[in-house]
This record gives sequence, structure tokens and C-alpha cells, in this order.
Amino acid sequence: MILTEFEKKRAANMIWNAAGNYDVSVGFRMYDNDAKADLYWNTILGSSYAHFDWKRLKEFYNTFHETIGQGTYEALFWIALENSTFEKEKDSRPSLPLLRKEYCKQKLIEFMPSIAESREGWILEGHYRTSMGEDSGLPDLVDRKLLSDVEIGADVDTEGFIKSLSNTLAKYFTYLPGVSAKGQKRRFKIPVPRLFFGKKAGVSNEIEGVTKLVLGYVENQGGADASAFETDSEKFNRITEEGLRKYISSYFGKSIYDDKTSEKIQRECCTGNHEGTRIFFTRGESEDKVSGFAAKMRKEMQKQYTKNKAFFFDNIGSNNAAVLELTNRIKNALLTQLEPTTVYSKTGKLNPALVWKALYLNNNKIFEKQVAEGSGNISVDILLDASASQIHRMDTVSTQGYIISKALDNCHVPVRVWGYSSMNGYTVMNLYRDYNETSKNNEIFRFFTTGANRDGLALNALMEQMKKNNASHRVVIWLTDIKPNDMLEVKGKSRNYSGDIAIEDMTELVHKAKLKNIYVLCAFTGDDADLPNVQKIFGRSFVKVKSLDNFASLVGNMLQAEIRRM
Amino acid sequence: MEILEFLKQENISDKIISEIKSFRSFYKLETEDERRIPKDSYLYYGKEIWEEAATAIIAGENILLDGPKATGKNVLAQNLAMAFARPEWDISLYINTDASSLIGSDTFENGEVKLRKGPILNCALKGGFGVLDEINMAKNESLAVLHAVLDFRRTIDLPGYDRINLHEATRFIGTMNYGYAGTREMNEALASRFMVLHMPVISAENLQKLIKDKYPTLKPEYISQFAALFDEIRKKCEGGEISTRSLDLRGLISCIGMMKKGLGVTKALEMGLINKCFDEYERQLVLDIVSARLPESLLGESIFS
Repeated sequence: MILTEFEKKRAANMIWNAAGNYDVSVGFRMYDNDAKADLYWNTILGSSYAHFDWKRLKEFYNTFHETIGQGTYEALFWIALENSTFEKEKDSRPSLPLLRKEYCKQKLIEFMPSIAESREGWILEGHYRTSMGEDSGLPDLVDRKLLSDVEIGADVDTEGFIKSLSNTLAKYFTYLPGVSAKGQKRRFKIPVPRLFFGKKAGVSNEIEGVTKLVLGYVENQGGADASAFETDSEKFNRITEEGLRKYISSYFGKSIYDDKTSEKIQRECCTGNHEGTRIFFTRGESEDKVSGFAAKMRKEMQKQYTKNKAFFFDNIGSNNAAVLELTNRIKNALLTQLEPTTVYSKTGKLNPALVWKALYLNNNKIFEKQVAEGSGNISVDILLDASASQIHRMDTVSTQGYIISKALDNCHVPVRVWGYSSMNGYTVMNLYRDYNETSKNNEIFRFFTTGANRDGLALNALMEQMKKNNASHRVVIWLTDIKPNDMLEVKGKSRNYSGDIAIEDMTELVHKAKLKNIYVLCAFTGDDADLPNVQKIFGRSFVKVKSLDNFASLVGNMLQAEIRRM
Repeated sequence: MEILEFLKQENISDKIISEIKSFRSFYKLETEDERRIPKDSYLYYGKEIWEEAATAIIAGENILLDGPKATGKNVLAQNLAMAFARPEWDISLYINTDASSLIGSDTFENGEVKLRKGPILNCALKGGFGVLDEINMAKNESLAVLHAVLDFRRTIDLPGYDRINLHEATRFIGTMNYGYAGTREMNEALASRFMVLHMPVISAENLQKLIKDKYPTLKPEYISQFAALFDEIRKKCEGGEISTRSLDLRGLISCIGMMKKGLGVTKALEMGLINKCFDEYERQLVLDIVSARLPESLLGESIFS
């Protein structure tokens, strides 16, 4: 089963809703066996943000790290947190007791016997039973006492909670209250699962990207890069100039331009901070003979294309609705820009001065009608960061790209879509569809991420491409995380293209674009820590993309604002 | 309930209420205009806004109500016309609104060209309250014709006809939702002719009052549940997670009405709020809010005493 972007978003929404605060950064989210967001647990988690100081709880939780009783402590921590939060919240949410019963009932059905072999396992089982209003069924009196101590009630604050649970852990185990993880009794060299009850791999109904816990599935934030090995001849080819170019074209596809034009563009784009780098334009059309690592990657691209396409068509209903909504919004915005002109017609507002025509000439066109006309044309270039940092969102980005293009097509706004990434000194500009290619939106599903990103060069190259575009309003929408990074040096300044130098470079280029009457708007997908950089580069012309699911609608907002400014 | 009684109950200052009374008795109405006074409207709860708006009207000012969806802009406008007992004209502005559709235009009648009066002119002649709904939807240029109407001149100069002075009791109430799709920036010249009130989001307390007023038999614990539910939907809208489609106060009130008739609580909310999101994703998110608060099996009848 696959965890969808939507279920992730849904889980986060449940947490925010219960917390009553949409600024909470969601640490982890819970899913059920069908990879659906778990309403009960996410609501409890969210509520716990409202009732407790999570920073303190986290500090406390960290004292369990790699201690001798980590698994047990963590398990009891969650039981205590769930219980206390539930007790605090149950009166304000009439559905909560029912949701809890449903949840516990389901968990008891799924309960794995192997878990019940551990102490925390049977305590948890007992907790499920007491939650359902039954007897815990624990045979041992000490365990019964432990469970009732762990089931902390509603009348504690954060400190009270920590104190109560520390005391319980100290009483029944070797935990030292108030002592950091270092001071606790340690467990050595045994790999400890991140949370408790890590499930062994290879079980059939595994959901990709999440870890199974007894509580449910928890999302795993990390991700492995697709690492593969190159053949020796490829390594050799990469070090000669011609070989490298061949390698790039067999990897990414044939060049759009012949050698001479390529040279010319190269000279124009790769200047200043980008001297010595290479630029390559392609439509992803495969070379006739591709072998080795490049062939392997071409296969991967093909696979991703099918995946991206499936991702769109699986939700064709809502995606079409999104296209329609965006179309209407852009149309509306464009409409407000139209200037009216008056024409004579058979209906409309009567022009008294013309009445004689109706009487004597039998010409009924004596009414005036207002018809709106355009005040200038607009073109949109969408520039997508296709570096490896976007690897987990290829399907979402391509779907959203498709939605935007389709909507703009419907409004007769020319739109062009690009992806870019850098590899071995080459920055590759992948053209998915050109302005007038309304039938080629499917090409956007070719979106595939790999390599690094030399953002400045990509923008520079795009500006070169826009020279021939005579639209009166030229807009670039740039989806990026503002983490420029390329191994190739900035001549005389830095050993690689990243950090302050790269940010400076981008700022300069965005400004240069503005001077050429090209408006660059940023759809920012990165972390809040990079916001100052984004502001520096784009001023106010950016939006933060919280979830790529609504990227298309954000672009709609930006375009609306831009059109209004026209 | 008589509206003045309601104002008293809401602790509106006695001075304002007595001013409203003298306004009413000073500006008499013709019988044919009485039917234009709004009746049976929802009531607007919020002492401060009431006092501010009423004072502005008494002082002879036009007011502009600015606020997001479900803040009761139109309800307040209707309530003001009720309180001051003036006939009301609803004038919805849209992108193609032009001067002639507001003031009036020529028409051909019985072989003669005549003036067909527009709503603004009618309102001005009768001393009514003109509600300029979504005022920032219209182009500023077409509203320029209103400048003389709205400022100290209080006149309408009809090209080819006469110069008309506004009836003394005439007031205009603009409503707008700043930044809403399709709206435009309002120019300073127009904005300076209004007293501007920023409509606050209805407080939980006032929302509870409103629900209680509509459904006095609804059990108090459920009144607070519905108020909290509405607040949660609002937060989700403000958090940018969903559109404002399901943030529908009218819808919520109607839902409770259906529950009273016996429809299940979740079913009623589905019809009145959740299904208003035509996007399946949004619908799921709103349904989650409802499920996290109200049990699916809750019966409509059981929430009323």
C-alpha cells in the first residue's frame, strides 16, 4: 500500500485541528492499516499540543534514549500521554469516547501474540481493555498497579505529567528521574527502534515509507537516494569533454539544438558566476543507442513517467475539478482587466439618437452593447526544480504542473513548462511543453528528479529563451526550495555554487529579469530557516508552499495578483 | 422580537436607542415604502459594532463594512434598515456594473424617450438605505458617479435631466470582502466617503447566542459543540488548508433546523456544510473535523430537550 500525499496532509490537518493551532509543526502522524490517517490518534496527538508543552515532553522523552529500558519507557510514555489527553479532552468532544472504543477494539483484534510476550506488550493490552471499560485482565497484581499508575488522569499539567511518570518509572524500573539520557543505565550495541515495537521487515501489508508500531503506522521522514554504480567506461567517458556531452545526452535525451547553436547559447548564458559550466536543452527524446548506467536511468524515468501519469489519472475527478476551479479564477482575474468597447446591436441599452433608423430604415441595431477586450497579453513560464531534493514529490509536482498548464490553456494563456537539474558541470533544461503546445500537457509527467541544482544558471538560460517572446507581460513561476547547490566552482570566488555566493547570484539574476520586464514569482517549498534568503531574492513576490497538493491553486493566487497589477 | 427591544437586551446604550427612536419619528414613511423595510432577518450580535454603526448612521455618515465571509455584513446592513425603519435597496455590484445601471438609463416608452430610474436614484428619492453589496467587485471608474452622492454634496446630477438632492434620511452601506477572488483594490476617493467598520469574526459567545435564539430548545452542550465546530472550520480556512466554502453560518443554522426535523446530526452537517466543498479532498478534511467532535450515530432528536 502507498501512503498518499493526501493522507499525509489529512493526518496533519487532524492534528492541527485538535491542537487548534495551524502553526504546530507536526512531528509525526499516525496511519491505520489501510494507510489512512488515523482519526483517533491524530486527534489525541493534536490535543496533546493544546494541553502540554511539547518541548518539555520531548526533553523528557529524550532521557529514554538508548537506556536499558527505552522500549518499555517509550511505550508507557505513550500510554500515559494518550490516557491523560483523552481524560482532558473527552468532555469537549462527544465523539472521542466512541472513537477510542473503536480504536481499542480494532487494536485488540490485530494484537500480535509476539508483542504480548513483553511486559510493555501486556500492559498495553491491559490498557486497551480498561479503555473499553473492561477489566484489564492482567494476572499480576504489580502489573495492575503499574497500569493504573501509568494511566495518568486529567488533573496534571506538563510538569505534573513528567513528575508522575518519572516516579512511576523509577518505582518499577531503573529509571532515574531528572537525569539526562547520559546518566541513565545504558544499553549497548543493540539497535533500538526509533519508537517502540518496530516491526520486522518483509511482512506483506507493509505501507511504503512508514514504520509499523503497535499504535499504527508512523510516517518515516527520511528517504534513501537511488544510488547505483556506473560502469568503468562511463567513468572514463565522463572525463573527456565530448564523452561527457554524449553521456548527458544519452542520460537526459537529445539536445534541442545543433552544435553550433548550442555553442552560441553556451557563450551567452554561462558567463559571470557561471563561467566554465555547460548548459544543455532537451525534450527528453531518447538517443538511439543508450547503454550502461544511463540506460538504467532512462528505464527509471520511464517508470516514473507511468507512475506520475497514474497518480494523476487515479484522481482524475478531483484533478479535473481543480483544473476547472483554477480556470475560472484566472478567467475572472483576466476579465477584470478587460476594457469595454461599445458596439451596436439589436438588444442592450437603447441609443435614442438612433431611433429614427428603426422607424425609417428598418435597421434594428439601435441599442448599444459593451464588449470587453484585452488590455495586453500575458505569458507564463513554469520553472520546476528537478534536483534530487524533490525526489519524494515527483508525482505531486507533475500533477500540479499539469493542472496549471491545462487551466492556463483553457484561458488561452500561453504557458511553457521546464524542469532543471545539474550534473557533472552541465545544467540540463528539460522542456516539457512549449507555449503553443496545448496537446502536450502529458509530457509534464516526464518530470524526473536527479542531480544538483545551479538555480542561477537555470534562470539565466530561461531568460535567454524568453528573448523571442513578445508578450507584454512575461511571468516566470519558479518552484524551488532555494537550496542552490552545484559542485562546480564559481571562478575566482568559491569552490562550489552554494551558500551566500549562490544566493547573491540568484538575487542579481532575479533583479536582472525584472529590468527586462520579466516578473519572477517564487513558489517556495523549502524550510522556514531559508525564508530570509527568499525575501532577499524575491522581495514580496513569493508564496510558501505548505503542501504541494495546493501548488496549482497557489499559482492561481499569484497570477491573479500579477494580473491585477498589470 | 421588536428590534429595539433586541438592542436593549444587547445592552446598546440608551442614548443611541433614543436617537434611533427620534430618527424614526422624524422621518415619516409613505405606506407604499413600508414593504421595503426588511423583516424576519437574522439578528446581528455584537454590541460594539452595533453602537459604532448606529452612531455613524445617526451622524449622517455612510458606512463600509469590511470583513471576511460569515461575519454578518449583510445581516447588519439589514438590521440597520430595520432599526431605523427605512426602506432598503439591495444593489449587488459586479464587474460590469456601470453608472447607468446604478443611477438610471434612457428607455423608449410609448414613442418617447424616458428615464428608467436605477436603484441608487430610487433610494435617494425615498430616503432609503442602499446596500452596495460587494462594492469592490465593481470597477472604480463606474463608481466615480457615486462620489457626489456619497460626500457632502449629497446630489445626483442627471445629464439631460435635473439635479436631484438626496432625501435627508438616505444612507449608503457598502460591504466588501477584501482580497476575495475577483475583487479589486478600492480607490482612496471612494473609501474616504465612508466610515469603515472592520467586521470581527463572530465570537463563540455571540454565535452561541445566535444559535440559541434560533433554536431555544437545543441542549446547551450541543450549542457549544456547534459553535466550537464552526470555530474549527474557520481556523482551517485561516490556516489555508481549505477554501471558505464550508465556512457557512447560514448552512450551519439550516443544518440544526434539519436535525430538529429528525435528520441525523452528521447527515445534516453533510448536507449543510461538508458537501459545500465540491472538492473531494476538502470534503474529507471537513468531515474529519466533524467526526473528531460529534459521534456519527448521534440522532437529531436527541440533541433537543
